[in-house]
Formats: sequence, structure tokens, C-alpha cells
Amino acid sequence: MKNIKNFRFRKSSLYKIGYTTKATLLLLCLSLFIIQARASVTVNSIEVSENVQQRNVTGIVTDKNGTPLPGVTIIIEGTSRGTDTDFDGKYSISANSGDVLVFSYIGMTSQTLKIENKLELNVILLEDSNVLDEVVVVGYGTKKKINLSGAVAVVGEDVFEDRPVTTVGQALQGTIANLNVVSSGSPNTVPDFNIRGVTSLAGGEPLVVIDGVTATQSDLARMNPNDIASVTILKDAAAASIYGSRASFGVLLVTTKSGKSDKMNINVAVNTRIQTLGRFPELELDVAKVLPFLHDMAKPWYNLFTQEQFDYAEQVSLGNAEPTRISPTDPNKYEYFHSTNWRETVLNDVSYSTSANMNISQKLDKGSYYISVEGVKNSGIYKYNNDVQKRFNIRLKSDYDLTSWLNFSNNTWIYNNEYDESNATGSAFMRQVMGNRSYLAPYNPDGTYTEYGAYSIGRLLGGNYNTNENGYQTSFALKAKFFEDRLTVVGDGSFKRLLTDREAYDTPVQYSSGPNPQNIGYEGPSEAWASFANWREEWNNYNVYATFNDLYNEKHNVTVLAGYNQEEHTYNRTGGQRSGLISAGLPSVELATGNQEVSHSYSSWAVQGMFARLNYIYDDKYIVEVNGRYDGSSRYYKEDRWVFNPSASASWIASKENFLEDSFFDLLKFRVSYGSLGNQNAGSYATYPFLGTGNASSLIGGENIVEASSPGLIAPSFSWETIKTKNIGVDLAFLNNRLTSSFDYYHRLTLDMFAPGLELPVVLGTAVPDENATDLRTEGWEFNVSWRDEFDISNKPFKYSATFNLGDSRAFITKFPNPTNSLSRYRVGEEIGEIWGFVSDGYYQTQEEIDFGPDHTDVASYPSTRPQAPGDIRFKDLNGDGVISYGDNTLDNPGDRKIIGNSRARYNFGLDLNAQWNGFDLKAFFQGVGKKDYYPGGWQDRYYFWSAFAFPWSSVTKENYNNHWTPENRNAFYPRPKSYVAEGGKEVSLSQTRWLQDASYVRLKNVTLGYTLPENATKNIGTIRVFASGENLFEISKLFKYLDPENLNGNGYPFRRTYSIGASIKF
Amino acid sequence: MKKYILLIIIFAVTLVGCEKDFLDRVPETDITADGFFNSTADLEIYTNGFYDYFGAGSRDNSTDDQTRHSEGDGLNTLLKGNLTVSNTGGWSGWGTLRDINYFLANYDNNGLSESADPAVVNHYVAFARFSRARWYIGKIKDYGMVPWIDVPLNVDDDELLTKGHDTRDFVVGKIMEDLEFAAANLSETAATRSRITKWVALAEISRFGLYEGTFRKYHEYAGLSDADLYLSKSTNASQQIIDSGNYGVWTNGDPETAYNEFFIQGSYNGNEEVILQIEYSYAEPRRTHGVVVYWYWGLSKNLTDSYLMTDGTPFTSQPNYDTKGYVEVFEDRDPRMSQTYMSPGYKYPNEENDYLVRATYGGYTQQKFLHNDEDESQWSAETDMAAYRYAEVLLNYAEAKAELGTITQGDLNSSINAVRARVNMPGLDMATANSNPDAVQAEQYPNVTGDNKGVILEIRRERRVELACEGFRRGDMFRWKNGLTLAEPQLGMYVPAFGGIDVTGDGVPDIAILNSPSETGPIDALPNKDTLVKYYVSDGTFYLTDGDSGFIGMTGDVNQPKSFEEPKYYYNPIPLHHTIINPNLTQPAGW
Repeated sequence: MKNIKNFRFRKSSLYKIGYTTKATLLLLCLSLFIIQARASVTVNSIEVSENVQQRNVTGIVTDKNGTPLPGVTIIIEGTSRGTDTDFDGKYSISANSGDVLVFSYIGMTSQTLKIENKLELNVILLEDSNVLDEVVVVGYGTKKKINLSGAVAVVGEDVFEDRPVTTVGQALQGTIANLNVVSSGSPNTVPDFNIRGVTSLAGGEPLVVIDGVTATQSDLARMNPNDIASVTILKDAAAASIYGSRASFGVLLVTTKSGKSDKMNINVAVNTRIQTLGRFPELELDVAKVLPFLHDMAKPWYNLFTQEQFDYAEQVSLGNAEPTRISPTDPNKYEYFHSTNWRETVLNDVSYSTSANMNISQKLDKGSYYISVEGVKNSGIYKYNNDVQKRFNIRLKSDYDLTSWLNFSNNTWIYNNEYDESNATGSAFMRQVMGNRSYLAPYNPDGTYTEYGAYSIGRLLGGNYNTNENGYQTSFALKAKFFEDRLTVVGDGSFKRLLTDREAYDTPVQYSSGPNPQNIGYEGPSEAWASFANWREEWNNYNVYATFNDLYNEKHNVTVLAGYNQEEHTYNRTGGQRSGLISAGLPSVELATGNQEVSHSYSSWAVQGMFARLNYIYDDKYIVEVNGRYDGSSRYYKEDRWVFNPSASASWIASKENFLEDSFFDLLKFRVSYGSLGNQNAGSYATYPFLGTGNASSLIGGENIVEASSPGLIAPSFSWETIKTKNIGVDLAFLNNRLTSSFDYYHRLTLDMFAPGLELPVVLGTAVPDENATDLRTEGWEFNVSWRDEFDISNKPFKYSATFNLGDSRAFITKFPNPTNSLSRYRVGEEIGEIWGFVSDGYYQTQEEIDFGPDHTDVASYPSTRPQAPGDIRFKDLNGDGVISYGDNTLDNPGDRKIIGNSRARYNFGLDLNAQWNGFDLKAFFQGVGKKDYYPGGWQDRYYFWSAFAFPWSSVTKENYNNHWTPENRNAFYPRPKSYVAEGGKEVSLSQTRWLQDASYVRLKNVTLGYTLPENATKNIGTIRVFASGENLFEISKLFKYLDPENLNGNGYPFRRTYSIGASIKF
Repeated sequence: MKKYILLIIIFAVTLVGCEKDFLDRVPETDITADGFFNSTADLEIYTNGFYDYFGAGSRDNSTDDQTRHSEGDGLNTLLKGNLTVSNTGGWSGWGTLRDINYFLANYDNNGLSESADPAVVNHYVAFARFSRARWYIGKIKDYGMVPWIDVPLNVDDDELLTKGHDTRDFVVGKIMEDLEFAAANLSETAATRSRITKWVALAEISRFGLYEGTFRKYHEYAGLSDADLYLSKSTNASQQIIDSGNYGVWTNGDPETAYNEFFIQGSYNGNEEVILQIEYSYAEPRRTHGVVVYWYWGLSKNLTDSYLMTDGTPFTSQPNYDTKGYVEVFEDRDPRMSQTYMSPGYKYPNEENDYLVRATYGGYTQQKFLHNDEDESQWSAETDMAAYRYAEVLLNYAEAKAELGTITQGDLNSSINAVRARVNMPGLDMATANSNPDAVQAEQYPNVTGDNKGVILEIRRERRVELACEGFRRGDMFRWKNGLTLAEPQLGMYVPAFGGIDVTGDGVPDIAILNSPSETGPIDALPNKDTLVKYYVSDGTFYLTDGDSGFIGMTGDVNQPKSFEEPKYYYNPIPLHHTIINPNLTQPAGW
């Protein structure tokens, strides 16, 4: 094994400098460049400074009615130097003639003014436009937020700053009502997004668009969150339909930062993170307790231990005997009496990660630029081998005015994402680690692996997967403006290439089960192998569109948009694997002699669309918009290929009406929308029947023979799903816009869902092909409320804000080909997530209760070899027929089951609390789920929840040991000790009321305390902020304490808590 | 200025100058349905998949050959009365039939038969029809009746999809048509014993003809005729194999090891007894089997009693045969017994110590098929397996002839007695057998009557012994309509009293059977009382038939006794769900 390790190390030291190192180096180089650049700027300013000395600038700040504003913050842009206005709205500040002053006040629009030669600057601040006049990126353009008529939500860059998370998704979780984000604890996690609940039974995720180019959830996970200026969520059909059929379940529009200020802005930020393991079972490790417990559990099938072994375990537990001994009955075998905590043996309690990023931006006379770099190293939990993600991002954005009316721009993103992991990781491995019996040991006295040491530590070291993604995306655009900017024409082309290579190997790990050298065995593959795979993905995306906007008679604002879009994607993968490595330490297919396999796969799809939008605003009060898009897809039969996606919306800003002018509403706006979108839910080649090909499992002449098999069936006609969404909403603002709120209700029909058709008799011999046969209704609402204000503490402004959002959705099947109402398929009227289960009726306490109670044979675990006994769970005979059964598994006859809960998460919420005072800033962010049920019946639960109740070859949790049924503890958490009762779909592995878990929770997702150093301490350096941050710090939940509310049904990668410190400098 | 406008126009035209077929995307790394069956090589590739359908018979789970049964086993569930239409599995595997029917419907789609050698094409067609016949044999054995489908179905084939059962006569007729086509058209030779030949098809006719013939003869309630027809088809097929001279009973020359060694060979290429082998390999590409996982079951006293003495007389005729000690039972028995069981003194591969039987499984442990290769574990063995072997054909031949009433001593000599010769057992004498049918056998098989009663009983004994642990027992007991015997609780070794027992033959007790851990009286005097492997009745896994002595019985058989409802239990129920989906499907008799 040492060889392999050394090899890996040598390889990386040769040509793989660590990513953090790389990023740091690059940051250093850039910093040097910048310091030099700044030096020359300073020199220049000294040259011209002879007649522009530092001077005292004074003035008065008022509102539009001339009322002085006390407490207005005045900052010299790019520095932390500043002052506040006094009670009369007056201020005085020492500044250079070249400085720019920024005036800001809560509820007012900030103003930025150059000093130039002036000594007095009087400023009028206008009422805040933050809510009303904020410009929002929407499909193929921008709009004032006030003028939106669809359901749209926006978050700004602050959501992504200083959170010790490395993906956009993790930062977005909980920030927007009904934007649901699911991620795992893995360093390489790709969070899943969902907008507004169940989409289609065949799956459906929101469209991701980054800077106008369609992207994937993986792109979002790989990109630098600090590049993001804003994320717009288009929730309803009216808002999304300009993106047509790809947008049927909402859109995430990501916009990256650009050069905005005349002054060069440089931001550098670093943070380092410590991650610890989240919830894990506590184990009973005392061998003297564990052996008898497992022995009883294994009855009547196994006699695991003898009395002599119990006695020996007792001596080991007392410290009087060695925990490994040679078996008294077999001199070739070791026996183990250890107290091994396998989780600690294999997993690190703590792992360390770091990130660094930097960006430079500026707006120039004839253009702008934005350059950023980011390096991230994310470490996982495994103690041996690697579990590390390294990411490196560069973004280069620039635009240039070729003429007064023509602008050329380029936006290029280059990234590398490498994930190096052991071959043995994953859920199966985690389960093994959790399930390993504590009395076994990883190593023998002679230092060799035991079988279980070989499976855990040995397998971690024995093989490796290295996945390396190298990608770039570059977009070129020309933007022309005509007729005094009333007509804008944009043409862009975007090209994305992603090359992924994966190298892997796996080797057998040797162990011994006894002192004699012949007692050697191997874990892992029978022969060492190495493999490689390369896959290339290419996207080409083109848009041409024109926007015309004009205002007639000062009241009729008309915008017309028309355009064309096309996109194509190809995927090409080749791979090879070969066994029989010449040396296990040199894992390359070239250095192997055994069986080899090569593979190739290819696929391609394309879409085209033509779209148009008409938007009419009358008197800034009445807004009407219609959208239409005509979409074609390569995935359907030619005749079923095209779909038209119309939508319409209207909005009334009532607060602008005269009769509401003096009301307490700063904003009262009603919105209503309706739209119908096609959804493409089919594989690239869904219309082609393929013969199955591959190796037969049978051998002839020692080799697998090649076989072919019949193609599956394909429905003679199928096409787009149709999604019809209705939305009504209201937006509100009160108290000088300090209190804002909005509420939306939606109703979404997913019609003609692509799902298996009517169930047919199995003589068909193959799966019933999918067809457009099923309907679904999803409905829900979302609400958010935000309060922000400020007041003075010790003459320093204390600013604070609180934002709460809450969303709900429910989904029901409205059409499904299931005439018998079978419970094993969807049925009409079913709510998605229903949990059917038995009603537990406590434990049997006496034999009489068993003898005279209802017959449990159908649901009992191994009733004939292990008859029911006191301490076993008992079910209520709901239908009173004397037999506990599943009936005929239909709605009309479900046996003794009923709906006992629902597994969908409802009432998703987020609460964001912020405060700033005297250089300090504090943020606390909670996220949670208000209602969810969970029955611990999954694979993972056999290890984390049931443990020895699932298998006697298992660890024993403290709860297992201390809280099971005995005649003295008749209402214990667990039943009487018996294994295999939590697997096999019987008894306790059946969904039932007793162990049904309330999976709702509130989790402190993030808390950050930051401090911006006072200006006199950081003179001439820039603004320096230091912060400490914690992620997933604690949760409140009624769940069984070993389960993580965000990792139920998980992939086994444990959820983690993160502690971080970091610093940022703005030059 | 103008050049920029030009630029925009060029740019826009380039973008929108979309290809006419932009939305046509064609797969490049898959075979589409109309691109195959171009050559006989394609036929071979497609039919290669049919080899996956062969499985070697193994394990006689839950029959009267075993003591301890895994609870998940279907037969055990049935016998315990726990099988219902709601919890039964099965009525599955229709994808296999579809694969076969798809081949038969499409192999000639591209006009292959015009260019290719018809004999070669017919070989593959015959393989497909053979595979279909075998598939339907499985269904007939399970359900008695089944809808006959011989085309790949589509979603709109309503009539075929919702079809009810065809009669057993009809389906068996179709099976025989397929098998006879296969026997007539399959190639006579193959490069390896792993490939199918005409002889494999004949061996299947020999096997299934006997099955169907005896089923029809003994299951009188079913009102089926033609028993003799199928028995004749069986004997004819067997006769052809015998007459070919291609096959024989393999031996290494040593009656004490030949039988065991036959089942643990690395390859059967060149082995005259094997008609079709299934290959297994521990090296890549790995394919292993686990036919002997000895701690899943024990062998029964009932099977043990069936083995003759070396002189050809029944063990059950020995005085006190019912109270013989463990080691004694193995003395002077048909050599196949110690080559099927882990007999006293047996050492498990790689172990220094003698194997110690486990009382919790009854005490008799299977050795047959267990390879002595140290690389192999029991559940991933790489010994090749025989799917059809000549000795079975000989046994089929003798039984079918006996049931037909046409058997002669000459037939016995060329069949049963040829099999017995491998282990040097005396031949079966027809006259002796028929003049004095063995009483114990007669009690075991009460349905056997007629002039050949004695010889049929001995042929059944021979079959049970020779084919032990090869997976035939359930089917044999079912076709002989002997289900009631399967319901009897099966017992293990004899325990004369609580205390130590020698199971290795060295005269020193190795294990102890005690009432409970505290009742150590019976072994207190033994010098090795601490190292004895102890089994306690109080653990609740087993009991002794006379309380403190007797045969080991399984507590589970007392807690929930087995039963056999005739004729219901000779058939499997169809899972309820399938009869709801297709109401035309009716449950087999009694269900």
C-alpha cells in the first residue's frame, strides 16, 4: 500500500501544484501588479496635486422637501473614511479634489458625487428606490422591479459574500420562498434546485441561465459565488415563458458582476474553514456488553459466541486480557474482543478547507472590465487517501464601445474542478463503516489488516478516483442601439466546452485472519485494475433579438421584443479499463496485462425557438404583458416536434392612484398571470428503439460472450408535457418602505406527463412505454416580509434588518392510468408524498395478547422460526378482520393500513437577521421546514437508526443497548432484541405510526460576526474587514437524534458543521 | 460605420443560417432495431444471451432431503401454510420469453435466409425454440396452466395481453413441438461442452417427457391422458443419446472418490458424462456460484436412510438402524454417501482440524459440490457445473421404461447398473426387487403399484441417491404426487443421550448436546469438557424427539408444523395483482 501512496505523492509533486497554492500564487502576482499600478496612480495624482490640495468640504443634506436629514452616512468612495450629518443635516469632511463622496441614508437613494473644485456640496436625497426602482434582470433584458407583472424574486450579491460555503446553491438555500435547494455534505456536492414543489413525475428542474446562456446545475456548483451580482428567480409562467419550453418549472437567472465604478475596485478575500461531523450514533463499545447483546439478537439462527468467549470478553473489559487472541478452538484464527469505534477509525472528526478570491473591476470611458480569480480547496471526511475537491475559476469580462451606438463584449469563464476520492467511498462504504462490529479490530497484533480493517482502511487506500473537469465558456456579443436608443439589437454567440477526464484504479487488499501465513484473504477486486474515461461536452448557443421601447404622450410606455434562439449539445465519451496491473503501485491501463474493455457513447440534442414579448404600461399604473415562444426539439418525432408557449400577465399599482396617495401604503400592487409552457421530458433518442447489447453473464471458454437482446417498446406518438400556471400576487410597502411584503398564490397543472401508460399484464414482457398519459396539480403560496431600520446607539448608527420568507406547496395526481387504484402505482387523488402505514398498537406484553390478538403472520418477521413473543410490536386491526394484512393493496382494500403521514417538506422557510454598528456587523440566518414526516425504513436507517435490530453483524448503538423492551422496561424505544426485524419489509421495517419521525426542523444555517477596521488603523491600505462565521451550527428538531434532517434518504455522506474565519480587503 | 452594420448582418446571418436539419439528431453508439440480423454472426450474438437462462440444478431446499430451511424459501413458505396470493412472488420472467419471441419474429427481417446456410440459420432458430420450450416447462411446472404466447407483444395486442390460460395439453404440445424441432435442427457437435447441441435437446426431452408422463400418470384428479406418450418420448430421446455412443459415466477409477470428484471439476470439456456444462471462473471475467453454503441447511435422516449398504441391502433392514450413533451410520454404506456428506474425519479445505457437525442444523452436512480449492469460498465457487449429465439420462430411461412397464433386466444393466458401477455398488436385480418390494420405500412412495412396484421403488431410491443435492427432489416429489411426505418434519442425527458425542471417528467426543448451559452433568467427567462445542436444547433452535434423547428435530417444525394440501400445493398461486390486472387469468387448482 505504501507504494501506491508514494506514487500518488510523486505524481502530484511532479506536475500538480495544489490548487490553493496556484490560486495564492496568482493572487500574489496580481496583487503585485495592482500595487504597482496603484503606485503609479498615486504618483500621477501627486503630479497634478499641486493645485488640488486636501480641503474641508461642507454641506447640508435634505430630503426633497428641504427637511434636513440627520444621521446621513458620508463615505469617501473606496475608503472607510467618512462622517455623519448632524442634527441639522450638516456635515464636514476632509477630502481631496479627486475624491468621490457617497451619501447614504436608510429609506433614501444613495448619491455619489465628485468633489472636483467644490468646497460646499449640498445634497438632496430622494426616497429610496430600493424596492420600487430597483432594476431586475429578466429574460432577454432588464426591468424596473416596480414594473414586473409576473412572480419574480431577486437576491443580490450580499447573499454570497462571506458565507463559508462554496457553491451558489448552498448560499441560496432558504433565501427565497419556494426556492428549494438540496445538497449533500460531500465536498463535491452539486445542489439540486426546485421552484414551487413537485414539477412532473418524470422530474423537472428549473432552467439555469448564467449571463444569458443556458447552463446546468453543475455549472452553478462550479462557478465562483463571489462573481455573482444578482440572482433572479422567475417563478411563474408569465415571467419564465420567454425562455419557452426549457423554463416550464421556473428559471434561475444568474448575472455576474461588471465594472461599475470609474475608480478601479480591487477586492481580495480569503477564508479558512474547519468542518466537523454532524449527527452520528453513539455506540456501545464495551465488549462485555456487546457480545451477549449480539448473541441474543442473532437467535435462533446463530450461536454467535460461547460462554467461554463471554468470560474472556469480561476479562478484556476489565483490562485483564489482550483484546486479540488466538482462538482456543482453532490455532489458525484470531479472535477479537475490541472496542473499536469504526467511525473514528475511518473518518476525520475535523477537516480543513480554504478559499481565496479576488476581483478587479472598473468602468472606463468607452467600456468596462471585470476580472476575477478564485481558488477553493474543500476537504472531505475520510482519514485515508483523498477526499478533496480543488476548484479554480477565472472570469474575464469586458465590453467596448466600438462606436457611439455599437458595443462589443466578451464574457469568458475558465475553470478547473478536480475531485480526488478513494474508490471505496460512497454510501455502501459509509454503511459498512457504521455497521462494522465494534468488537472487531482494524489490525492484527502483527500489524497486518484484519478482514474488516482491509475493508475499511485498506479499501480506502486501495483505490482512487480522480475526476478532473476542465471547461471554458466564452460569449461574444454585439449590441447596437438605434433611434436614440429606442431600438436595441443584440446578437450573441456562446460556446461552452467541458472536458472531463477520470482516472481510476482499484487493488485487492490483503488481510490475515490468523497468525499462520496461509490464513490470508483479499478484499476488493480479485485483480488490480486501472481505468480511464474522457468525456467531452459541447454547447453552442446563439441568440439574436431586438427590443423597441418608446413612451408616447408621456403615458403610454410600449416595449416590444422579438428574437431567435438556438442551442445544441453533444456528448462524447470514451473509456477503457484493464485488469491485471503489473504493479499495483503503477495504476495505468498501459501497465496492465489482463482483460480490457473499451467503451464509447455519444449523444446529441438541439432546440430552436422564436420568441416575442409585448409590454404596455399606462401611466406607470397599469401593466399588461404578453409573451409567446415557439419551440422545437430534436427529441421528438418530426411531426410532434414544435410547441407554442403563450403567457399573459397584468398588474395594477394601486398605490399610485390618487385615492391612495396619502394612505399608509408606500406600495400596493396587484399582479395576475397565466401561461402555458411545453416541457421536454424525454431522452436524447427517445424515439429510437435500441437492441440491448453487452456481455452475457455466461462464460464460454472462460470468456464472457457478447449478446444482444430485444428492444423495449416506444409509444407510437408522444410529445411535450404542458404546464399551465396561474399566479396572483400582491406587493406591499409601508412606513417609508421600511416594511415590505409580498404574497403569491399559484396553481400549476402539469398535463400530459410523460409517464408509464396503463399498466398491462406482465406477459407484455417489457416495460409499458412512457406516453403523455398523466396529470398533476401543484398548488401553493409564498410569503415574505422584510423590515429594516436604523437608529443611533452612542451616536453611531445602528442598522438592522429582518427578512422572513415562507412557502408551501402540495401536489395531487389528477390523472393516472390506474383503474384498480392499486397502491403500488400513482392513483387519481393521491397527494404526492403520502406515507401508507400500519397503526402501531404498542408492544405485546404477554403471550395471551399474542394468542388471542389479530393474526400477524403476514407482517411478522420470520414468524415460524422465531415466533412472536412479548416485546414485539403489534398493529391495530383497522378493518377488524382478525388478520393484519396489506389487503389487496388497493385504495378500496388497503388492509390495515392508512395514510399516516406525508414525506414532502412543507412550509419551507428562511429567516435572515442582520445588524451593523460601529464597524461591527452580525448576521444570523435560519432555515427550516415546517412539516415533514419520515419513516426510517431506508438502507441508511438500518445502520443509523436500527443497527443491531437489522443485522446481528452490526454495531450496537447506545440506544439499542439501553432502551429496548424488557419486562422491566415495557415501553422502551426499541422492541425486544431480535435481529432481522428491521429489514425484509416486515414488522418494524414497515411504515407505521410508532417510529414515524417528525422531520421538521429549524437550523441555524449561518451566523457571521464581522468587524471593519477603523480607518485610522488601515490608512492607505484600503478597507479591511475580518469575520468569523459558522455554518449549520445547530438545529432544533424532533427527529431521532442520530438522523440529520437534511440527510434523510441521504447518500450516506454525513452532513457537516463549518467554522470559518476570513478577511477581505477592498482597495 | 457601414462596416459595422455589415458586421452585424454577417454575424446575424451566420447565427441564424441554421441548418435545415438542425433538429435531426441520430444516435451513433447504439444498435437500432432495423440495423441488426444481417448475418448468421448476428444470430449467434443474439442467441448467446440464451445461455444465461441455463442454471445448474442445485440445492434441494425445504424438501425431505434437508433438515433446516431458510425461511425465505418458497417451498418452505408453502409447506408452512404461509403462502398466499397476496404475498407470493412469481409469474415473472416474461422478458425472457419476449427476447426469444422477438428473435423468432425478426431474425429473417433483412432477408437473411436467402443468403445464409439454412442449416446454420436453423441451428439458431432451434436454439431459440429450445429456450422457449424450457421457459414454458418452468411455467407449466409452477402453474399447470399458462397462456401460450409465441410473438413479441405490443401495447395494443389486447387479445393476447389479456388472454387466459391455455390448457396444459395445448401448451405441453407446443413445448414438445419446439423441443422436437430443436432436436432435429441443432448441430450435432460443438466446439465446447458449453455450447448447445442436438443432444442437449434430447436430454431435455428425456427429462421433461419423464416429468410430464409421470405427472399425468399420478395426478389422476387432473384428468390428463397421454402419460404413456410422453414417457415414450422420454425413452426414445434417452435411447438416441445412449445409442449415439457419445456419452458414458465418468470415473477416475476409484469408487471411493470418483463420485465426489465428478462434481468439483474445473472444466467438463472432454468429460464423457456431461452433455452441457455451465462455466464458472474466479478469474476475471468472474462468474461464481454458491451451491453449497453448508450452514444454510443440513441433510436429513430420511435421505441418510435411503443409502444402501455396500452389499446392496437397505440400511433400514439393519437391526437397530434407528439408534445407530453418528459415526456408525456411515459404516459400510453406498460410497456415494460419504462422498455426498461431510463424513466423520472430513476436513474442510484449508483447515487442520476435522470438521465438526453442527447440531443446530441436524448434524448431517453436505460435501457434494464443495471444492477443495483454498481460493474458493462456499458462496463464490468456480467449479463448472453440469446442466445435463448422462447419468441422469440413464436414470430417466430406467424410470420411464419401468413406468411404461417395458423395462427389462438388460435395460437396468445399461442404465442403473452402469451408474452404480462408478462406485462399485452391486447391480439392481429386477426380479429380486419386484418379488420383495422394500417396505420402507413402499411407505415413502405409497402411490406406486403394479408389477413393477419393486423396481420402480428402487429406481426412485437410486435417483434420490445419485442426484442428491442437485435440485431434482422437489420436482420428483411433485410429479410422483408425493407432497404429503414433504409435510413431515425432517430429522437429523440420532442423539442417544445428553452428553458428549464423537463425530470425527476417533472415539473422543467432539461436541456435546446438553439441555441447557447450567446442566453440565453429562460432560463433567470428560477430560475435554471445556473445549467441546456445546449445543443447548434450551436455546430453542432444535429439540430431541424423545426429550432427552432421539433424533434432532427443528423447533420451527413444532412451532409451525408443515402441511400439504392436495392438489393445491402442487401449484403456485399467481400473485393477486396480476389476476386483478388481467381478470381472465384464473388461479391454479385450489388457489
